[in-house]
Amino acid sequence: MKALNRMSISEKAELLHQFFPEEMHYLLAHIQEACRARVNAPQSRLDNWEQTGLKFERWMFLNQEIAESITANVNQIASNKKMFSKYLFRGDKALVTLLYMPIFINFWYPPESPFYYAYLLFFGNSLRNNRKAMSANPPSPIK
Amino acid sequence: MKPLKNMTLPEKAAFIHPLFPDEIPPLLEYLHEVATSVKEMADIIRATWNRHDLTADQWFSLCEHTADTIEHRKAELISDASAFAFTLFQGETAKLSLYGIGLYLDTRRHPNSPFKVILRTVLHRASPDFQASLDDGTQNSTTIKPPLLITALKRMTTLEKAELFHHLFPTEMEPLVAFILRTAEKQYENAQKGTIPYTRPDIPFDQWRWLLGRVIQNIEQHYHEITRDREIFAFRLFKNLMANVVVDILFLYLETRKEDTKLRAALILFFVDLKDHSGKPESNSNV
Repeated sequence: MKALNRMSISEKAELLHQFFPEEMHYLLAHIQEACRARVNAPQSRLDNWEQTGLKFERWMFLNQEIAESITANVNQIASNKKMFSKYLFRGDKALVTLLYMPIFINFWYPPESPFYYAYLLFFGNSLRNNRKAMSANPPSPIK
Repeated sequence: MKPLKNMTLPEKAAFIHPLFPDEIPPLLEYLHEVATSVKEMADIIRATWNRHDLTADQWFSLCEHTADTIEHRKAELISDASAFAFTLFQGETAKLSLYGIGLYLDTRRHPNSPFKVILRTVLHRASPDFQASLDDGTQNSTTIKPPLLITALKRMTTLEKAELFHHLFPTEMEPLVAFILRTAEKQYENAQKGTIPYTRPDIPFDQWRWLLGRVIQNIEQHYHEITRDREIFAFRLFKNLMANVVVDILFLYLETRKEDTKLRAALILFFVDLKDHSGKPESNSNV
């Protein structure tokens, strides 16, 4: 395992999964729900997706893909850190997941919970920084 | 069933597998981590390689193969004792598996758990292969630190969290340990003079002062090892009640690094339970 400042987003996601294995089903349900809501009513809730820097079509496509991946592999994703990082944090998917995670944390956890601090520890940088880190170390395509 | 001494290595592995179904997934995770770490430290390993039965490149290829096998056949290896035994404990692959198990036995998590005792007894002591892998210098030739044993945060011990903290923030260690030393010395001096308001309810004052003395002594004697080696950092500064004293000082350190959200998040995430919540850290910040 690398030092924190040398870890990729995927590696951080794996560590988050290892820290909180019992929270993963809740997180997945939330991300899935959020993605589905965007896909089903794209105009009703635009959120702040523009800050991801993605085009709208790409944003919607990623939402749909994440929702479908979770539906098809929920148990594997919840129990396997590699699957978790692959389906939720690889490439631009991380931008979607990281946009929804703070909402999940604020809604489901008390202020200053361990999960909140883990999020700060791993993904505390702005989305722009996360995006920069990913383009510096582009992920390989999903097999 | 055969007596243990007549069993082959895969038979021993197949014998252990069904006895501890819950222990197999973390063991596989650990072996995967070992295989990956070895690959990451290829340059150091290559430079110090002294095994005769394998070349360094063969060892790396073994690591890659094992990591790949565990990654792609994990479900099968967990559910099927025979697949577990004959995939990981036969032929050359067994050398890496036994090496990984040797490291696993050295981790401090549950050192006397029945699973570890059985592993040690059945594979370690009873297996000539395993003994040979130790005797022929495998452990020396592939001198790597055992990978960190990461589990759910709530099940990690303070020592494991301290190791992980060190591992995640290696460049922070020199200023941080120097700060711990300076602050502990100042607190100790004030404690001797009786000029420090002491409010920590869970540690008697004399014991707290003694613990400060131990922290100072440990850092003075092992400064370089503590800053460079995560195990020594954990052992010298976070063992038993020393952790409480050190954690209070770490939170004081945080006051000097207010803008560092990651460091703050890590300290709170790993150590907030040990912090003195009675208000002493604020009063100590003036020392």
